[in-house]
This record gives sequence, C-alpha cells and structure tokens, in this order.
Amino acid sequence: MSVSLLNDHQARRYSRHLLLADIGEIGQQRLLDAKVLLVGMGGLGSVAAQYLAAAGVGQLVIADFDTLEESNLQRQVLYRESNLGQLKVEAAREQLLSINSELQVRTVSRRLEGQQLQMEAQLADVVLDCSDNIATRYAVNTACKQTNTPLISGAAVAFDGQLMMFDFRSTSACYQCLFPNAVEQQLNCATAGILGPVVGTMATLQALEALKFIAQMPSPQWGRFSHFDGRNLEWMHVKIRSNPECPCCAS
Amino acid sequence: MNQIQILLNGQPHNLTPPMSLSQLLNQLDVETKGTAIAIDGEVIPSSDWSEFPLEQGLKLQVFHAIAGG
Ligand SMILES: [Zn+2]
Repeated sequence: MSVSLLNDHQARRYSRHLLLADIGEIGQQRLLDAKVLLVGMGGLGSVAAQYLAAAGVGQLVIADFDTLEESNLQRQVLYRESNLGQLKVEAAREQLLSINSELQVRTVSRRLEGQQLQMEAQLADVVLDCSDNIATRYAVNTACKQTNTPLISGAAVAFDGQLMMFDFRSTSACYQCLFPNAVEQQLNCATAGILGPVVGTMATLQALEALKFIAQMPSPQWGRFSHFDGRNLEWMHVKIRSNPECPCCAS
Repeated sequence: MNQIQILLNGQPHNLTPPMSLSQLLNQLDVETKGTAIAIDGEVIPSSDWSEFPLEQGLKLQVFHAIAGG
C-alpha cells in the first residue's frame, strides 16, 4: 500500500514531476524538504533560484550584498524595473515568493564569509556557487569542503560558460585543484560583457543538477568540468583530478 | 630528434621532445594562474606539470577560470 506524501494541491502543482519516474512523489517530497544555499544573486543565482522555487525546493538561502542596477536587467530576468535600487536579495525574495508562496526564502545581505559562510554551507543540502569573483569562489569551495557539502559551481563571461561539480561527501577534487593560484581577473561581466542566455544556460544547468541531486538521481557531472562555447554551441568536458599539493583539500 | 605533433586546443602543434608540460606552457607563455590543463580529457594537477612528458598525438586543452556570474 502506498502512502501519499503530497496533499492534493501539491499533487496538482507538481504533477509534471510526478510523471517522471526518476522523481515521482518521493522525489518531490525530497525537493519540498530540501535546503539550498545560493551564493550570489546576479545572472546565475537569480535564474537558478527561479527554477528551484518553481520546482518546490522548500528552503532557499540567498546571499548577495549588491543592489539592483539598471545594467543588471539585461540578463538578471528575475528582477523588474521597479526593483532598481533595492537589495537584490530583497527583490529576489519577493519575486521568488510570488512564483511559489509555499517556500521559505532567507536572505543574507552581508558579504558571506568566514564562520557565517561555513555555517550556511553546513546547513545546506547543496550549495550553488553563483558568485562573480575568485576570492568568493575559493571561500565557498573551502566552506563546502570543510562541511562535506556538495558544490555545484557555475560561471560565465561574454560567450563562455563553465560548470563544475564537487561531491565533498566522498573524496573528491575541489575547485582549487582545478584552478590553482587564481587571481582576480581583468575579464568579468562588467569589463568583457555577457549575453543573458549564456549565463542563463549555466544557471539553468546548475538548477537542473541541484534538482537531480536532491531527488537522488546520479549525474556524470560530479568531478567533471565543462566549458560551454556559446558562439559555436560547443561543449568540452574533462575529468577533474585532485592535486596532492592543493592548499584547500590535500590531507 | 624528430618532432612530434600534439593537438593544442584542437590545433596541431609541433614540438621537439623531450619536453614537459611546464616547458611547453612556459615556451608558449601561457598564463598559468587559475589555469586548468587537460590531457586526453583529464585535468593534470599543477603539481604534475613539471614531470609530465609530452608525447606524440596527445590532446591538450587549456582552460582559464571564469569568475563571472
Ligand atoms: Zn583541492
């Protein structure tokens, strides 16, 4: 005898998930029970968060200390003109709740670092790195490594995107093994530009992988790095190996 | 010694062995900070670059970290 986990309303709302054999009612319940930390609510975070909210991921913790600027609207499609000047996390919270009023959305509007970052990573089932700088990427990687929290990392600039995933519950290489000694870059969205659907593609894949992970589906992307070339619509995939001298993860 | 050919980011590239991965990166003046080097589909940890010998036919890909989001 099967016991129904979802109420009638949830069964209607998420009926297209229930049709998926890999998700179904148990998977949907896992989504409703899940907690995801998104670090950065720009072009990646704002897009990924919409899909997580719509899919019924129960708790989102969104971190960003920026306010919405006019130059963000070209790609950060969660936001409205009426949100200009507001903290992104506040605007995002309002929009996400208008997509799905049953969510819990908690905002962090200070720079998420140190102990607080580690605590938030610890509390999350999975972390999405949607940040826009190397220092934050290294810090998020370290916090996830130290708390054994799986990390789904996306990045984009101009026509290029990157996606890499680290399952720190098992022994795994880390972001710093992949990209050692990185320094802040001349090329970022503010200097090199970015086309909305390029960053949206990477964000959508981060959301896809987060939903799969929460529903306990396997993925070939754990321990793999992928580069997306938005000009030629080409992908390159390579396996990540751990660096025995990595300052973050070498034992 | 005869030259060997590798594929560097999809393009044929000739070099004279013996040459390590580090030597090639140095010769080509590749920015190595925040750089991932993959050979035949697998990232080579930077700790191995100086010892890694380049051989005929291998496929080398250079990726630089993107920070933007
Ligand atoms: Zn590492």
